[in-house]
Amino acid sequence: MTNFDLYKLLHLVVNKDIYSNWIKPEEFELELKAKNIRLLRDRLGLPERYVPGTANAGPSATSIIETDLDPFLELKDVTVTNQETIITNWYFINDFYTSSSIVSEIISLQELSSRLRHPIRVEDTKYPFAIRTNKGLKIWPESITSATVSYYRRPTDPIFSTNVNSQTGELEYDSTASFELEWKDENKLDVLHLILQDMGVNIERQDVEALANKYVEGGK
Amino acid sequence: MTKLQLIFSVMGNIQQSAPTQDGLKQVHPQEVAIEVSKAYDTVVASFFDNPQFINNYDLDYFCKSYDISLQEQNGLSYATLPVNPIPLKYGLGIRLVKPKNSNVLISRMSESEFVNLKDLEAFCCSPVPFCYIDYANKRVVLQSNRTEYKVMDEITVKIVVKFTDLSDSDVINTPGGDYQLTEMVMKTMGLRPTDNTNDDVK
Repeated sequence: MTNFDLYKLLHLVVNKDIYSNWIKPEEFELELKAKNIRLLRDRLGLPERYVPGTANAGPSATSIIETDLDPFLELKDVTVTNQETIITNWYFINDFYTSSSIVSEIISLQELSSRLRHPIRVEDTKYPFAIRTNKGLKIWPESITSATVSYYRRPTDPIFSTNVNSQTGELEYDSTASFELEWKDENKLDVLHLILQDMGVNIERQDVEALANKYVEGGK
Repeated sequence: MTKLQLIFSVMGNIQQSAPTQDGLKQVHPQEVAIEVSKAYDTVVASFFDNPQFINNYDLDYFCKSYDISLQEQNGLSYATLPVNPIPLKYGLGIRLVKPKNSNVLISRMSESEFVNLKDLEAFCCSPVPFCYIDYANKRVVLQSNRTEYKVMDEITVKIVVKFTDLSDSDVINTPGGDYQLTEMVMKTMGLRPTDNTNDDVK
């Protein structure tokens, strides 16, 4: 399902022709970008005002949600410099481990002071711990220089590019210049549902899906 | 079962018995290790609480053997223990001290006996070397007056090692079995080992 399919489906839902300019392609692109991130936040159980590094509680993702988030899951070996991980394009960090760790934890900021002076849960390369920061993770003990981090990356911003055919005057989708949403098809409908909701179109999620099926059956 | 497996086995039992606990926030392996350590040292201490056991070499099963180099200081030979023994009665925490390449037993005595005897004439004629365990300085102190024993430069010591000094990969042999140990830890924590995780069926 391409961005153009979503554009056409949106018009089908609101019963408008795509030439009606009900929502302009550039406005639709902006909506796609915004709802792309909003859906990710929603799936991760994060607040609307979340920016990477600010939430300390872990997401309570069910296995269904984890499957939805599959396209963005990364498991990467990263360098740790001055206790901080160097990761690019991360959105939410789930977990980490090192070559010598047995159990590793991401603790809350409130736990840090007591943890650093804890007489039993002492700093140990077998039991490393970390807090979330705006750079990713800050890891103890200080001797750790590399780690494997499991995280969700930020989805790439979609690009919705269209042209008007000079011969026929029809609106055409420029698939080369466009960049599709990286979500699976069913989640692309979630993005569309979010757009519709924000536009004040009162429609249930399952109705969007029913219309999408009808749209696909009709040969798009 | 290795030390690490034992710790995680007990930890698993704790988490199963108290499933509402928030994972590592309540039960951390380092804390479980302390509890297992206390229980293990106690189980071993109560098991060895019998003077007759000094000659029961079956109990060497619960020991680890170390070869240690001797050092000289103020006319005394000593060997620094690589690990701490469990402080058992009758000095049973250290089961055996002998020259590494010989089966001659080094006779053990208390520090005060050693101090009293070492200058006596009779001691000079003793056919066996003597030693005592200097627990405070974690070492075995030896004195032998026969030149043939003075040539030894390494001794073999069998130690009932404190749990905390065992390495993660060391195989643990608990007197009475590992289940008794698990039970003891959980009882102390006010929990009971569970044999049925389907606790909802009542």
